[in-house]
Amino acid sequence: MKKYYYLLLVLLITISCTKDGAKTSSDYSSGGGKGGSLARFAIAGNYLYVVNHSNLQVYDITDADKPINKATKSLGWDIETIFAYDQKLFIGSSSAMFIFDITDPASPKQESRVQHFRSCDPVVTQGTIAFVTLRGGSTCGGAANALMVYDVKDTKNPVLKTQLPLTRPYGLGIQDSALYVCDAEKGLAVFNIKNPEQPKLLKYIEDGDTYYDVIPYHGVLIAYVKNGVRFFDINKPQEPVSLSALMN
Amino acid sequence: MLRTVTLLLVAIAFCGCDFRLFELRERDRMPPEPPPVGIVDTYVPIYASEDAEELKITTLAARPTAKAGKIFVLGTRLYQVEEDSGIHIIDYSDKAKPVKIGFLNVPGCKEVALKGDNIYTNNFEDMIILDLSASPEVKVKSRVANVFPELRYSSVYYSHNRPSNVFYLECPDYSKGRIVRWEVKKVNNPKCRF
Repeated sequence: MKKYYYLLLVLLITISCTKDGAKTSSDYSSGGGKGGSLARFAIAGNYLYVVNHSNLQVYDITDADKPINKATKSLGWDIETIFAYDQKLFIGSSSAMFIFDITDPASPKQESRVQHFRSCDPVVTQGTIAFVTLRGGSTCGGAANALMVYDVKDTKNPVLKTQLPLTRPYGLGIQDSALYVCDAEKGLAVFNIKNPEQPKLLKYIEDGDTYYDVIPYHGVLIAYVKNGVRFFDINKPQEPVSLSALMN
Repeated sequence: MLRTVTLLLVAIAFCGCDFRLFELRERDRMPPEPPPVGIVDTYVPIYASEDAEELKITTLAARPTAKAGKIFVLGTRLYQVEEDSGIHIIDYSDKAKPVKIGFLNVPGCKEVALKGDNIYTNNFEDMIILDLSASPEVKVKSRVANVFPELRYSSVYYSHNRPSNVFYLECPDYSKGRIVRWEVKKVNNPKCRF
């Protein structure tokens, strides 16, 4: 009996680990590399998705010597970021979040477009929840600064679950039950997302630096800050420990 | 026809589109805007002729970071954009002591992504794929023209770490060659602004 109990325990742990290690933008984007949430490139398999100011462009990069343009989709104006996750593309513009399906990688199909107030907005997702930061101010119009949490279980119909105030947010990243949000001069905000629909602010890392974007990668959090990069140990995701900084 | 034009105008009026880039060029032709603002922080364009050394795509020695940009990680290498001018290559095998090991000179650079030995980036408005397999030699594997038309003039507007308190520009003169970057300088009564 005891044996079965242990077996069950091991099984449970395996399942929960698998879930935690769910595909992120880049694991999925192959080659094992990973970009930040402010990226305008997303690589998935043999396809490169590029967003410029107004379009989504699809390239077959099977032969890097000869990328082939497969599709171009007009998305309006002020497109900012793209994030690939589990057969979907999440695109942030200054007025909306778009979700595209890339089951057929050469021709993304738009599934939804969620309008929000005017501001800048990278998107990251995990499971069925999408996190979006909105930044107001001079370059992006609008006055709102917030973290928006959407349920995207039905990608055709995202539902806004929560909206939390921030100061001047840029990029963001997820590791297991932790969400890191770069809040510019205010520092790096660490949220507990055990219950992803209701992120809980744990703390701000305030070291005087200005945070723009983060990449959680193999137990390390790499942050793009004003004059360079900072590294944190995130083996305990909710408790990042500063390792080093490379400035100038 | 008239109906289509009207519809288009209405659409433009309501979409909240961003014509700042357009506006910027439009303003080049406009007379100075009164009143004078005195000596203020201003973006000044830095020009280079098309055959200039600094416009070449090549590997250079590690250099200090002046305008940190986007990042991409692969294995124990971190790549960080130096806005408008290239990509720092950082080895962080020792996470407590990351070191710069080189610099890819890519004028107009804003973006970076990797797949294997290929670096995807932009050279002003063009997307380029660089081959790192013969590093430190770097080869432009392919170039796709005009993927980022808005970056043709190394736009300061699209720099997301643009200091928000600088609103003035020295009006660009495109006959002087490529604008390789913009520098913030003190200028007396700049004639262009965001």
